[in-house]
Order: sequence, then structure tokens, then C-alpha cells
Amino acid sequence: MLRYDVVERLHRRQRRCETGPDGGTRVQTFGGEWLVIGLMTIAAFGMGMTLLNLNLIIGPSKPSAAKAAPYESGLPDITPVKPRYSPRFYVVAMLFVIFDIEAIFIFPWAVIFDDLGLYGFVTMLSFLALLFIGLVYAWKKGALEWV
Amino acid sequence: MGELGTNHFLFLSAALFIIGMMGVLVRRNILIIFLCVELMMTAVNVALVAFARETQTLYGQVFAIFTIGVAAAEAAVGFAIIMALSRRVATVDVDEFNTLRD
Amino acid sequence: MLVDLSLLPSPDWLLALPQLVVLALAIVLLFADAFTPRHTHSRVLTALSLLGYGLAAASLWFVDGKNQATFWWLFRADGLSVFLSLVILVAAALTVASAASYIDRLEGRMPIGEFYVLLAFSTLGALFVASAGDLVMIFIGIELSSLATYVLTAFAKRRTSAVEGAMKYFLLGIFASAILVYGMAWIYGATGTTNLDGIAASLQTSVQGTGFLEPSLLFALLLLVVGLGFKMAAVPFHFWTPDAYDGAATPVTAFMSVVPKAAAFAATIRILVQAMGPMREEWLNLIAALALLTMAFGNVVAISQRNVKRMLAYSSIAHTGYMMVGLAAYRTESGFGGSAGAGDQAVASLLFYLFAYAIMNIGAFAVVAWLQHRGRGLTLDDFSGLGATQPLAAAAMTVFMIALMGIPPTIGFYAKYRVILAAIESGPVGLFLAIAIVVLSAVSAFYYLRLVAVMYFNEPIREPRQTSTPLLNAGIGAMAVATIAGGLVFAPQIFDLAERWYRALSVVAQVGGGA
Repeated sequence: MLRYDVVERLHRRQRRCETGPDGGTRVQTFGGEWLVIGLMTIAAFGMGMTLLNLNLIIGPSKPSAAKAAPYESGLPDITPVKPRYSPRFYVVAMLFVIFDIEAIFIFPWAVIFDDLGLYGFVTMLSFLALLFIGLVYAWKKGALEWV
Repeated sequence: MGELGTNHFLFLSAALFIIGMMGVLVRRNILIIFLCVELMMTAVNVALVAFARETQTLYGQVFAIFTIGVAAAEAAVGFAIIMALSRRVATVDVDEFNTLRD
Repeated sequence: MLVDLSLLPSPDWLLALPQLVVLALAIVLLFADAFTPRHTHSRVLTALSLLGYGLAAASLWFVDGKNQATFWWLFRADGLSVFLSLVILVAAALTVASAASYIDRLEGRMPIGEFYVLLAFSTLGALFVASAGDLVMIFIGIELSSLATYVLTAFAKRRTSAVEGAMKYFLLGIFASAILVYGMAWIYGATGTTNLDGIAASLQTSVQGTGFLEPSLLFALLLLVVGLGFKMAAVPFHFWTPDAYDGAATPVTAFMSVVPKAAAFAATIRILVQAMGPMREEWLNLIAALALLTMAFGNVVAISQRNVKRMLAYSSIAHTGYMMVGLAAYRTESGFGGSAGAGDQAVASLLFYLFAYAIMNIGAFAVVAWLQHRGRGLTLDDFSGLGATQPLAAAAMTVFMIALMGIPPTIGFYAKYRVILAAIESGPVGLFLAIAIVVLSAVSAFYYLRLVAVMYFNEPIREPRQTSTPLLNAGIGAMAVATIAGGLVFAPQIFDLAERWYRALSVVAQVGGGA
């Protein structure tokens, strides 16, 4: 049966290590100054929205087809001007982002590898196994082939 | 307050969050909106790590790592959807493509 | 700084069995998709999915009756998690049943393998939220569920409307996630923990001890309610709902109107009731106001819809409002120690409503998909004369419409009745909300009954195309029977199961009493 106070104990140990050997746990006072930040957030948001909408209300608005055109003079585009990249770039970029970011889960694990022991090792192995399943799937589906 | 305190980080976080939020609500370009949401996620990470320092616990740092991972997954899914949309609109209707490009 | 890890007890894997089964299902589906020949795909993957969800639901039996936390308080197995998992798994299985032939034949060859895999991952995310014991877990579960659903929405990618709907859903969804997680960060800052029971204990101490509530908590609460409101599709955060529901393939719409919503309600109950229960005076009125707005807006706008899918989208917004009334009626003191009191009925009624809603709403969308199979469209006119040409389908649709309206012999009536009962017991605000439910149900009768009238009193436009959809037929039949049998026979038993959710809070009682 797990009990909540184990977490509390861990907390206390952690704090003690932080604050010194005398074991004095810091009394945590969260003052009203954080309220200031909350108020600032709301005020900044309100200010931005007010100014923007003020612009919409006060400013003159005479939309016309000519203003919405991409160029004020000359002929409008007929073909898309965006250079066409191969979709491969995006697929590789997507795979890169995913597998790159997984490294941040491995770094903290590597730092305390000794303390985690066998259980931590197995946990990380199962995490990597799940990643590997994803890789096998991407491979089989042809996402890794550069045509 | 001579040195950097928690509040400084929280102000930074709140400022980033508001910039991102305003961007989402104001801009009309899909990619810019998407980048603004990523900015909000960064603001969250700053706040989490600042709180972790303030409260002398590790939960915030752990949470921040997971937030980064989730943001990466969001980016992958988001770009896939943006790609699919840009293909549809580009091939179906050139005029529509022009209006979306602004 | 280092913590002695030998202190930590090893996790109890058995408690996470439903989640592990669904994870295994997702992996098996991935490999089955990659390594089996194309032509047997559909049948193999459907059978595997149904088997997997069935096994997961059966493994809930191991978890039932427990009230434990494991994986270092990240994971909870309690009455709340069992009931919500049951709802989610039933919804997933029903979606598979109604989707099987659809993705095979309509929407121009959707890649069938990924469909089932994403469905499994979305279900897995929702199951994790249902059993979450920590804010981190809630966040990851919601994200897993949402990300898979974004892709599912964009699945019919040959249709521009599908991808556009997915884009709106995606952008607003990640926007909401960022707001939600910012609120979580502020809660963590104010209480020093991300553990739900820890937050509750900390809040309980400050409410009972000093009577002083950290002002930043109110800021966090606001952010959380906005973020969760987006995920639940509560007004005024509902903009994505009609477009995403309309754009997605019909079985996907059925899925996303239930499972991500169930995940959002699971997160809301876990965060607001379990973690922030001590400061309920602050959030109850906020939720009550949102509930009123949501059901009024959803019902009124649904009247003007000619497209049946959009009508059902607005009706699902209205049902979100009814469920939020269940949350707003939460008035209990007994969450902290002691047995179930009057206030516990409120959350139990919400849970029961979610179950009823899952069956009747997926049923309604399944009939829409059934008609699409037969070459009909999505407007009201496409339903005209269905009673004459296809009496069974029309009868099933009538049952679902009556259930969604909340008329007696169905499960929808019992669900609404329970919510109204809980609301009336909770006080004057609840009484007002209960009256609003009754009035707005009468409004909703207009558009639900209009569909029924169109089916029975209009002339048929043309003979529908002949196709056979055995699994879909079976699914619709099962849902129609469940909608009526649930109302007539099983409602009290299901409600008893829902009522056991309060065991979720008894661990807090131990801590809260001592702190």
C-alpha cells in the first residue's frame, strides 16, 4: 500500500539538502507579489486587445479589390511562386524533430544512471524499444528512403 | 533585489506568453500562429523552471522536459497538416493560394 | 540534491493493465499494418482492434474496487478511472464498428492502417488522463489524445474541408494546451507540487489554517478553465467544433465528439474536483456560468442548421453544457473523508451522462455514416422519406434522437434526470440551472424532432443505393438496443458504478486530516 507521505518525505529530504545540514526547512511564503505578475499579464493582454480593436473602430476602412491584390501594379500571379520542395524534406525534418527531442529524456537519465540501478536501466530500455518500434514502422513505410 | 530573483523570470515568462498569445489572436498566417504557440510553450517552460527554483523541488524541471517533448510532437503533426492544406489549396485554386500567402 | 531511490516502492503494473493492453494493441496494429498484405487489411485490423478494446475492458476487472496510486503517484486506479476507462473503451469499440467499412469504401481510399493505430493512440491518451494522479500525466494524456485526433480529422485529405477543419482544430487545440499548461505551471508555483493529492492537501491546509488563498491560484484557475473549456468545446471556446466535426470523416466525428471530450472531462474532474476541491467556491460559479452559456448557445444555434453533421456538432456543444451542470452542482464536503454525500451525486451524474452520451451520440453519427454508404448526403433533405424506404435505419435514428432529447424510455432521459436531480439538490444556482436544462431541452426537441419528422412525413427523394455493411448494422443495432435497455433496465446499475467515483478522493482524506 502506497502512502502519500513518502512523497512528502522525499520533498523534505530534498529541501534539507538544498538548504543546509541544519535541517531547517524554508518556510515557503508566496507573497502577493506574484499577483503583480498575474495582473501584469491580464493588463498587457487587455492593453494589446484594446489598442488593436481601437484601431479597427476609429480608423477608416475602405477595402477594395485593388488593395487586396498582391502587387499594386503589374499583372497578378498566375502560377504559384513558391518554390516546390520535395515532400521528402518535410518527412525527414519531422523524423529528425521527434528523434532529436527524445535525447532530452536520455540526458537526465544518464546523469543519475548509477543511482537508478537496474530498474532505471530497464525503464530506459523499454522507452528506447518504443522509439525503435516507431523507427521500424517509418522504415517499413518507406519514410527513410531518399528517392 | 540586486540579483536575479524568481520574479524576474516570471516577468520574462509572462511577457513571452502575452507576446505569443497576442500573436495567435492577431496574425493571420498559419505558420506565424504556430510559431506564436511555440513561444507560449517556451514561456511555460521558463515559468516551470523558475518555480522549480523557487519551491526547491524538481517537479518543475521534469515537467519542462515533458513540455518540450510534447511541443516537438505538436510541431511534427502541425507541419504535416500545414503541408496537406498547402497542397490542397495550391492545386485546387490559385486565387485562394494567393490570398492565403499574405 | 540526489534522492535516495531505494525509498521508492516499485510500481504495480497490474493496475495499469487496461492502458498496457491498449498500448500493446497500438503496437500490434502498427506492425499488422506494415507487414500484412493489403487486401486482408481491413478485416484483420478491425478484428484486432475490437479484440484489443474488449481485452482492455475486461482487464478493468483487475482494477475495479481498488483505490491505489502507483508509479510514484503519477498513476491512479480508483472508481473514477474505472468508470471513465469503461466509457472511453466502449466509445472506441463502437467507433471501430461504425468505421470499418466506411474508410474502406468512402473518402477515396483512406490509409486504413494508420486510422486504427491513431484511434488506439487517442484512446490510450484518454485512458491515461482517466487514471492520472499528477498534472504532468494529465497534460501528456490530453496531448496524446488530441494529437492523434488532429491527424484523424485531417485523414480524408483529398477533401479540402477535412484538412481545413483539422487546421482550425489543431491551431486552437495547441493554443488551448499552451494556456492549460501555463495554468498548471502556476498551480505548481503556488503549491510546490504537481501531484493532485499534494495540491489538494496544500490547498486544504491554507483554506483551513490561514483562510488565505494565494492570489496567483485564481490566475491559475482562470487559465485552467479556459484551457479545459477549449478541450471540452464549451462556449465561448467552441469555435473549432462545427468546422472540425463537419470536415472530418463521419466515424472520426463520432469518435472525436466522445473520446477527447471524455478526456477533457476526466482532466476537469481530476484537476478541479480532486486537486482544487478545497477552493471550489472560486470555480463553481464560473463553471455554472459557462454551463448556462454552453447549453443555451448550442441549442439555439443548432436550430438553424440544415447540415445534419453540423446540427449534431452544435447539439454536442449543448450536451457539454448539460454535463458541466453536473460539475457545477458539486457541493460536497464529504470528498475529504467520510462517505458519499449528496454532492457526490453531482459528479456521478456527470459520469453517467458521459456514458449515455457516448452511446447515443456515436449511434446518431453511425446512422449518418450508414446513409453516406448508400449514396446520400449530409443535409436534412437527404433524410426525407427514410421511414418508408429504410424503416430500420429510421427507427434507430429516431431512438437516438429521442435519447438525445431526453425522453423517458431511453438512457438519455435517465442521464438528464440525474443531472437535474443533482443540480436541484445543490442550491439556488443549481435550481436555476435545472430549470434552464428543462427549458433548453424543450428547445432542442425542435431540431431533433424536425429530423424525425423529415424521415417519416416527407416524400422519399430516391431509392438509396444498395450496399451491405454488416458490422455497421450490428453496431447501430447494439447501440439502439443499449440506448433503450440502458434506460429501462440497466440505468441504476450503471449509476451505482458511476457513484463509486468518490473513492478517488479518499487518499486525500488521509493526508488532509493529518495536515
